[in-house]
Amino acid sequence: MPDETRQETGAGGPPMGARTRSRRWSPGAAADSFFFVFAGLASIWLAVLLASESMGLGWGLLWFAVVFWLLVAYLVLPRLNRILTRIYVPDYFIGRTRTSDGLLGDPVNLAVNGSERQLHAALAAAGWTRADEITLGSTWRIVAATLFRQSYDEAPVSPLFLFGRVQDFAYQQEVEDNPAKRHHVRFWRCPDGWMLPGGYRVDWLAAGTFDRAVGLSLFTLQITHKIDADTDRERDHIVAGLCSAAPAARVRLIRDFSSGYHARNGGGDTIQTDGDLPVVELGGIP
Amino acid sequence: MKRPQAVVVGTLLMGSRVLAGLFAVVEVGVNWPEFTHAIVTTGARTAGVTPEQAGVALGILLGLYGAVLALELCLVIFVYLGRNWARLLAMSFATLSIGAGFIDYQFNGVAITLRTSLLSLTLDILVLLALSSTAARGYARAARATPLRSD
Repeated sequence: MPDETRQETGAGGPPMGARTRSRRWSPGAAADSFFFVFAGLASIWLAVLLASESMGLGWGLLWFAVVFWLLVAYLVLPRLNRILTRIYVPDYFIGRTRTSDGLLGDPVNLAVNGSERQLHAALAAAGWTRADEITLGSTWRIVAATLFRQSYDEAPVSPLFLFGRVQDFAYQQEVEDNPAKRHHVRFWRCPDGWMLPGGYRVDWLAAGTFDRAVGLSLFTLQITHKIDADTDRERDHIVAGLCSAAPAARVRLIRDFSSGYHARNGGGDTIQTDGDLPVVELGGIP
Repeated sequence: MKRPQAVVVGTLLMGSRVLAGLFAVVEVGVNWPEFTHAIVTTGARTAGVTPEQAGVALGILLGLYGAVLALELCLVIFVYLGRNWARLLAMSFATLSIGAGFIDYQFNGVAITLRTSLLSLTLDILVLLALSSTAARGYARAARATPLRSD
């Protein structure tokens, strides 16, 4: 039986034990919550004002439509999602990552035991390329590469959150020299002493999915990658690649780690999984 | 902790407001005789006021406005450095400004269009969105807990 008191860290926040002890009312936190919600409401009002203003613009409607979409997709809807998800989305580990707006993201479908050096070496040997950090330069480059169908092997991936923090690093494999299509997997180092439900101790958790196209997010209308629904196929692709590149690696399968399910990720794409979680053991790799 | 983009964008927007104010001050300073003349000739209750007296009044008003701009600039700097009190103060000013705009719009029938206060209101709302974001809050609280460093 897992020792429940050891599971101190939630999927999207600070240590749970600390949180339950220190969850007291504080004027600073109350003011922050007020400003957070007020800004969300004010942004809705701004969207309404822009919509009214557009009535008298005539041909100006074209640029206005872009401004309106930018406002709604990148400010209003993310803030509304953030307010709602803070209230109702579980803040502890449920086998799902979260987007920066707090929405449930890609499923956690892979675990690894081994050092960071072993993991990097195995992934490189299996033909994976480490993704660039998101910066203005890398964002511009992936936009240009997607528009002009140029290859960008190290294209950045969007931030997803587990244990309340963004991925430690991500790897990808571009398909057909097209940045719109790629295998990609994000990794998070598990907190010290943390165990999976069921009492399994692992060093790394990962979420691997296949980007099949570029499209609009269902929840925020932002431009994003759409993923293939069969996340198990991507998981198996990652595991098979690691095992063939590093024969010393071993795989232990936790069957029915979660119940199999159909759901949607943070961009609104359908996902399905059988619920199995492979644990790749890299201990044998020098 | 790395300074989040929300803080950078928020302070840039606040800074643009200060810059616009400075331009206004410079504009008045460069065209001083025109402005004092306009006060004397078009003011509703300025009969018997000399251009010199108008200049003194304008100077006092401009000085006060300049002081407000200087304080606003200090606030921008402190927000950029991650001071939580500065962030809360900046958000309070934006909230008051938005609230006043909403009351005028809703109850006094004041139109908010591109030609009136839509741009200014947009700026206030964007500042509030940026500074109230989770990243900006986390940065300000982390900066409060640890000594500041400029990165």
